Amino acid sequence: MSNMDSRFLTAATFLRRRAAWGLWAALGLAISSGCSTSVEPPQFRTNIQDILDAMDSHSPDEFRVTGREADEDDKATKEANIKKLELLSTLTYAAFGSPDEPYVFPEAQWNAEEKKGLDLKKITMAAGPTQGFAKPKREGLKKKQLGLFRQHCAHCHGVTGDGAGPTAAFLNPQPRDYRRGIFKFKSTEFVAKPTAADLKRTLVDGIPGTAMPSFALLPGDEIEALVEYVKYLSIRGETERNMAFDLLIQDEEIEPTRSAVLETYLQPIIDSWAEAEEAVIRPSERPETSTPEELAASIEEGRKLFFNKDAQCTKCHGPTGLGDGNDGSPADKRLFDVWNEKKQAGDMARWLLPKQELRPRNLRLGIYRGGRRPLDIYRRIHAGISGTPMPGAGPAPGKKETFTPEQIWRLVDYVRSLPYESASEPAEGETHVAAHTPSN
Amino acid sequence: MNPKWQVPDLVAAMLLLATLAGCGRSVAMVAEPEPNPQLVDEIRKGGGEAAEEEQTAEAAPSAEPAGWGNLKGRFVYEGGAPAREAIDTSKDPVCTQHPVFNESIVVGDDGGLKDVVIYLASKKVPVNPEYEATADATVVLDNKHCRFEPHVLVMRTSQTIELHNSDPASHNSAISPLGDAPFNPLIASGQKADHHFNKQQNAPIPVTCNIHPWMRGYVLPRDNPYAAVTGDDGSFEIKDLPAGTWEFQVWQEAARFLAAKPEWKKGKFKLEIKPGDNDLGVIQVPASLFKK
Repeated sequence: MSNMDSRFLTAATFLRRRAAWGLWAALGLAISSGCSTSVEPPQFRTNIQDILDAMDSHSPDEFRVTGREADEDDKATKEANIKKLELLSTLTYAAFGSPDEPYVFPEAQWNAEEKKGLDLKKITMAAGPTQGFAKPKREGLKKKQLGLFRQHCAHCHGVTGDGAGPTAAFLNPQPRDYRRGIFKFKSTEFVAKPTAADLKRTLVDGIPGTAMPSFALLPGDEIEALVEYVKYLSIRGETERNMAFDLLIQDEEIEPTRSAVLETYLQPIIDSWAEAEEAVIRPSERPETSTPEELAASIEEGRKLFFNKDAQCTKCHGPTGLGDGNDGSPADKRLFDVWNEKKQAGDMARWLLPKQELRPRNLRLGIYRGGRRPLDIYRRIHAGISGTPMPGAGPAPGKKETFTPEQIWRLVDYVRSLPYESASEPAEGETHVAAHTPSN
Repeated sequence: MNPKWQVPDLVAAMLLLATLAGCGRSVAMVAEPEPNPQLVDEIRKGGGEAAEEEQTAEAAPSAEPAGWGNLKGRFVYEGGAPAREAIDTSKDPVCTQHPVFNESIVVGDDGGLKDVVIYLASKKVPVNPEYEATADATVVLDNKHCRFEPHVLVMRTSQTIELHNSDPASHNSAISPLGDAPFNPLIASGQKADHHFNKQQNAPIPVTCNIHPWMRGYVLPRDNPYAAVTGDDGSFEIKDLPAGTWEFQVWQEAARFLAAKPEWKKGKFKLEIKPGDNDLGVIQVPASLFKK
């Protein structure tokens, strides 16, 4: 019996080893044949989603080579669309290169005198494949690429900076999609771009209450390289988006020349980034609140303004500042930011990321995404938050102020006192949100 | 552990599976367009500039048309008027004084479909000198009784849009045009805010008030003045169009690009405008075109 057993086991072992060899052989075959595409360098993803959204199109078939066609007209439109997409891709590639080979037209490169343009040296430093877990080698590297963006940022923000990296689907709020050129937390007016210092601050401090961590431990030159790379991805994305809009939505023609791309598309965006410095909100001096009495009076005045019909703060932030002011609204009247408003719920395949509702800030937590300094909160109230329903109460081009700087400072004092105020009864005339019942 | 499988075998199997899975290309909605490397080189070298200059020289200003014509027509909703949904405005007591209804489909007693937008989609169109007087006029979009008045506004990019607030409480008016600067001012009672559009849009874009989230209006800035919105009875008129064959676009809030006739693909149709009056007649719009 034992003989039989041992013979049987030997055979089994033999077979098992053969099977193992087979597996190893199959693995080798798979690597050598089918997957040659996986070693190709990554490319930026064309922004087809925004084009479809802008076209109010419900069918990506309009761009798909193998998609359905109703008739000859449809076929012709589709072929024209695909040609336009190829031109869009060529123009964008010519102006910006690829994740491994970033490029900037000489005219668009950093000009120290005019203080504008893109610094290709810094961009190159942040570009390229990640150097792994080892400390990036700084010497002898090809083109001095440290792969910083792909090491630190791309898993959330995506290689393209479209905010759709592999981790993005699990995050709330979703990572910023840079391609609209819109950033929420900045020191500048509503329509203005952020300054380099604003982006740097976001990188160094992170964004409290979100998945954005602090990168304070990175060396200063790496932070600066990443700031420039974010700017590069944003300018690339906005240029592509505007060209796509003209080519595919407005049916305009774009000459495939450097001057056409530069003058009509790239230069105005480069200029808008350079103008950010002048758009920084510098409020008049904060009213004196050094004694407890002065502060209490200021908070009381801010409280009155908060519940004022001119401010309307409670409609979103809630009658007690819990951020629940819009909770009773039906599903289609919820709040969304510009990155989410066009998405349809539950349609993952089309939008890469699910539709995400925007929660007005709970002002009682003491967590402020754009910074907790009085000045930060002043800027949020003055300019509003770009890309969101939060409107600006200060003066804007074409509009007089809703609140004076002094009134905004009072509001700041009240908002900053909210985490320490006991959850009071709502002010007179305000109904608590619990009175509404969600009607979905 | 099962003696038949040892760690290296398992690792090999897992690697194999992972590799095979990795080979499957991700489900792409649309194939990534490939850049043309030759053209990329040419653009970077700055080639093709001369050719462009020639073309600019060739582009002559649009010739004077043979005459000017008016276009009119009337959109009628086929089937009974849908019941109008009243909106719960109790969120803000200021808004409860006047009833507010959903305005995505508004049908008059006589079946006329209100707020259909019809506009000239063709480019480089000669503009009648009559329109010069109003080229830099101010058009008003009012926040009144917690809705936008008018619900759909057409304007020229050369004009100024003035957002008013006739209500006793603040409104905000958020606009995010494509390829143009966004705008979102807080407008207190009696205040107003001016805005300029730098670019025309191919379809009306929403104007929303987030303080009162049911509030939704539309604005369509265009480079030429040839756009109209149907009135209460569903009729419209575009005046002083240049004679010739032009392409028109039709849009309605609930249907988006409105293919009111089967041959109007994506709401577009070509029409020859003759000097004098042109009449599209009554256009029956089937109820099936609207999203419920």
